[in-house]
Amino acid sequence: MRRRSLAAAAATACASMLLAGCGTADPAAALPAGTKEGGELVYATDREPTCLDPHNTGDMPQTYIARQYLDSLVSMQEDGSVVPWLADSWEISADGLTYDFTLKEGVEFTDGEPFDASAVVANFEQIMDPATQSSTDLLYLSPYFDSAEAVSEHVVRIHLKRPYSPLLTVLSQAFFGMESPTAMARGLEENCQSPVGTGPFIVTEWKRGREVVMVRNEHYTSAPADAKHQGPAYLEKLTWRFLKDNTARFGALQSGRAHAIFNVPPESVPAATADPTISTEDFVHSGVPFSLDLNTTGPALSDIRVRRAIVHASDAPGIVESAYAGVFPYEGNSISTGTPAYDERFHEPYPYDEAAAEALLDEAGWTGRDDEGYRTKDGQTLSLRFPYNSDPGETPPADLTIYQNFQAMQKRVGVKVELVPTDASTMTALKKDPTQYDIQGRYWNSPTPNVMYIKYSQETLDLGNGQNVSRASDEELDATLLEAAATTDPDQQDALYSAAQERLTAQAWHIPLYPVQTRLATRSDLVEDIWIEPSEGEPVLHDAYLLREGL
Amino acid sequence: MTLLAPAPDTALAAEAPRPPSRAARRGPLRRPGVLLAGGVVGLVVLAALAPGLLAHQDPLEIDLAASFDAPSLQHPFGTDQSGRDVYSRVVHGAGQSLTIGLGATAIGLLGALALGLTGGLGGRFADVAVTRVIEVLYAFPGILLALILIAVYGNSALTQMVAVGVASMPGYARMVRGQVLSVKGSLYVEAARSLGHSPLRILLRTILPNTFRPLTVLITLGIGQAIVWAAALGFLGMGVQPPTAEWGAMLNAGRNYIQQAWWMDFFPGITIVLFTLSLTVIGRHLQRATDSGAAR
Amino acid sequence: MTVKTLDSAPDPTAVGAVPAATPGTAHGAAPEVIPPSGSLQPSPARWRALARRAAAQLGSAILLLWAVATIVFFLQHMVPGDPALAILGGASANPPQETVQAVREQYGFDQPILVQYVAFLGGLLHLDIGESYTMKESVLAVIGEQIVPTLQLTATALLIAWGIALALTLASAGRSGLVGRIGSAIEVVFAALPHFWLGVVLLVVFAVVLQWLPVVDGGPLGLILPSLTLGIPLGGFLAQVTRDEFDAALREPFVLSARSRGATLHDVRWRHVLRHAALPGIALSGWGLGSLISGAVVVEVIFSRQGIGQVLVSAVTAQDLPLVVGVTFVVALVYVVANLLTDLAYVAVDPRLRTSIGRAS
Repeated sequence: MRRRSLAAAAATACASMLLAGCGTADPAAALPAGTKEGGELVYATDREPTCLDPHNTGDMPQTYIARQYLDSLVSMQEDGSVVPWLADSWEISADGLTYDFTLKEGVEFTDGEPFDASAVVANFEQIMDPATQSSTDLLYLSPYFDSAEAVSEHVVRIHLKRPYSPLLTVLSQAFFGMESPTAMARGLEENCQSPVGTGPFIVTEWKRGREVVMVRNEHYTSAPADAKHQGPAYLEKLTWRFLKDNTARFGALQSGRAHAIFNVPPESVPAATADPTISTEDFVHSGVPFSLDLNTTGPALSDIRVRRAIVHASDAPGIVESAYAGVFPYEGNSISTGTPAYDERFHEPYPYDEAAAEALLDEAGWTGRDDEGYRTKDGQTLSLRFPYNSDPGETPPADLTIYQNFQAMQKRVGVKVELVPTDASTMTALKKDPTQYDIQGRYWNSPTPNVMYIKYSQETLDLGNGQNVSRASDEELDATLLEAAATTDPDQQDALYSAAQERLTAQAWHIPLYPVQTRLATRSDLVEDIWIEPSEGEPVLHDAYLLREGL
Repeated sequence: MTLLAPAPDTALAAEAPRPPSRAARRGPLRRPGVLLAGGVVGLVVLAALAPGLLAHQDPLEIDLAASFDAPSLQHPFGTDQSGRDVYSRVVHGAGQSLTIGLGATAIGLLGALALGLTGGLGGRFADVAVTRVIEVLYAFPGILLALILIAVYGNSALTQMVAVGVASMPGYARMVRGQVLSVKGSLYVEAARSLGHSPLRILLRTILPNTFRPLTVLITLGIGQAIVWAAALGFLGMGVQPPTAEWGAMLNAGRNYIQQAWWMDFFPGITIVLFTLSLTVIGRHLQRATDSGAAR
Repeated sequence: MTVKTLDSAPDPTAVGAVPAATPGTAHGAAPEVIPPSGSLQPSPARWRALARRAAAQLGSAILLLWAVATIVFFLQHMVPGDPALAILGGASANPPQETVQAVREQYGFDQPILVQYVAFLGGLLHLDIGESYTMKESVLAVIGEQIVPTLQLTATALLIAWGIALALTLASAGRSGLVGRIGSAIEVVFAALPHFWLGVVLLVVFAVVLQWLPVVDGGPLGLILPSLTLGIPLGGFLAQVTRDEFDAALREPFVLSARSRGATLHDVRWRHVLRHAALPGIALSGWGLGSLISGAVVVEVIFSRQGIGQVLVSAVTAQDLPLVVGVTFVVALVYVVANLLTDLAYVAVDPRLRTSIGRAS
């Protein structure tokens, strides 16, 4: 077994803990003079989670809010390294199949349960339990995870089926936040409503459709090593409000009814920039960019020439530029710029080229034309169904603009795209029925390039929540990505992940459009020190404090 | 009567015994307001029948370089988020909106006729039953009916038409019933009966025309209101599929860009306002004309 | 009793104005409620009559609620999609088949629809509308919380509407020439403004450009723009009705007699004619309140306000049957209560009823 030194990380943790008196001192002591300890912060965000337990499902709004009341085993930093959090240290076996985590001592869940090795085991078991209906966590773990065992009260051992070099990065996400075993035992429904963690805040109430109310965990001692302070949060109360209407959300910030909003609508960015009291912080997610996934089981899209023609005809940079008013950059690669091992050679692999598109479609045999000018083959019109969630909270206006622009671009080369506004439950049913759609918009935020395996492997095709709406996989790609997961050598990883990007780009299973970005806007005259952690772009409110009482 | 029984309306009734105003006695040509209203309605109808005459640009053609252009000579109503010409979209949207308005009114009227005639002519029991049905429809939130119908049958012009039509049915039904009752007891019908005309003939030749005459005014106004309701559904995001040019859907899309491109909402909205306003003006004019005709 | 009769004579502007409803009220009822009996002390016979009437009203209210519930039940069951999925977390849920089956059995979705209907009616009898599928809270609690902002909004809007109607009527009704024409034109324009457009324009002008009022706000300031949006069109409509009635009343003999008794024209306009002219408007207010609730759906969306309208939209799309039933019930109930209140207001204002009682005392 090879011991990995944690000296540097541990030193940082110690230093910051010493500065803050290891979490026992009065938190207000660390605040700059003239600022206010306590008070309520109102945080307005666009999407409401369906369940507050992030192990269930695993959608972005869950991880954003879970960060406020759950702690993870480790915390990821911007350079991709991880520092201690609930785990003080860890050891990885030489074959990469066994991880021993030594847990922080004296930590309690907010329901009084002790946080120990058996609690960690209970968390992994709950994630793997089908009753939890996990999607994201399951996809991250199931190709690799074998079992978890409590070696001693404070040492937990994870056994893997295969080496998984990104495991620590993966576990740093709030999707893998640790929850109280007693709370989880209440069953999914109750745990969704009021999960219990060791985090800086405690969920007291969830008024659906309106807000989640949280209060400070007065006994918080387990902030990550990279936190700005140890000990309880400065804020007494945190109100997490759901305002899916873009105008209303930005208006709430302008009027000071909200101290911070998550996701400044792109159309409000000029107004936000012009306002001296509003400061914005952008976060570009790593992982799979927002893409139009092409269903490869369809009669037309099973032909790689048709898929490539569609990408060529899309003018993806143009439609992103116009819909996101230049606020979001274009990304044509299978993973986004910030992802480790990103290869810029594939940034714009299929330049906008109508002639090339027409030639490919002709070659594929779509040479006829119907009354409306769309291409036909054997009497069939080249028509593609494109369902999208009709809830404006799920399909923001800018994305709908992208869809319409895409539709108009395809029409120019004779491809008919039918946009179908669809309700949420039908969208869910669609995932399991590839005959009902040809195109869907999708993204997958992830701190690791291994996300390509999750999304496109044979193994994960039917796992989880039907994320691979292209219904495509490829043995060569699978082998490359598993090899990358098995090696710890960074150069070898780069080479393998690069080969994977090349392979994915060549297949044209999807049309990547833009790296998912989130933009946090705060009233800089009212609140200070909200920061965004890098694994999933989760906002951290533990360190935030109010400058004066909100209006 | 019971509390819940549909009670009579008031405003027109109040007007009935009134001597015609001087204004009403003047012909429409001498009333600039009515003339203007007629012009607006004429333009909208023309836009619905032959949009190409009024707008030369393709309402669906995008121009990514020209998104969010403010109103100019080239784009009198500006452009939208995809660089489409808002003016062309408003013009091309007229057909869709007018179809929904007319269709919904027709559906509402047909249903109302069935109900109203049954109630008015079907005897006491049928009348009580019809009265109850109308009452229930009144208490039923129209918007709910529309939302559910759209949830069941999906977003389409036809669904909107049916939804708005059914929602407007009770209003028409009550008037039809009342009108049938009053015509039934009138001298015309007695005269027809004493002449030995068959009940069917009386229904078709006497009762229906006399029932319909006062309804023409309502139909004029009803079309405008049906368009407003269809647009409201579109505004709530229950409208037709993108990128179809439809007024409600345009309003829905424009709302998101209201701070940077006010024209996207303003022009489709003002078009709806002007059109319904014109229908109101014409309807009121017709109403006065009918009243003064009756008085003469 | 001289109140106008008129099944045959509907108000055109009322028709589509709000498809949800049209004036359903009070005229015929008024004389029955308080006939000019010659005494302020009702006789036992009158009490019996009143009791009978109350029972009949209650009966028809229950009948109405039953019918509304039945329609909602069957309509909602036609919505495609599996309600078990809605219960298990909606859009992104991925429940295993056994869980879905368990929920189906628990809620009885596997039973024939008529059995489900009977169970549903049974629940209603116990005033048990159940728990919302999506909000995981009792429907009554959800509605109880959400109805308050909606009632605040609609009540304020009704006040604004009446303010507009009275101001316009007093300023311009019964006057010939330009003033009357302008007043009339304002009314027609107001009545023709759709909520969705007026709301957006008000929002842009006063909140975005001038920044006089907040874009979104739960407090009293935030009530101004939404209630104006709802109130202005109704105000225009009420003003039309009131003006027509005002014009008609000015020609009534009682105006002449009042003048001959030495009342000033101002006095007549304010005390006699206006009272008379307000009657149909009051009759319409009950309907107006119902229509405002439908309008509130749009206004709540524009201004991102909490309220029953927002709940309704999301409940329908999420197939949350208990919640849809609950909201529908509440709207129907508002309709019933509003009409009852209209009855009372009508009696309080009708000069004929008052004079007859007054003379007798």
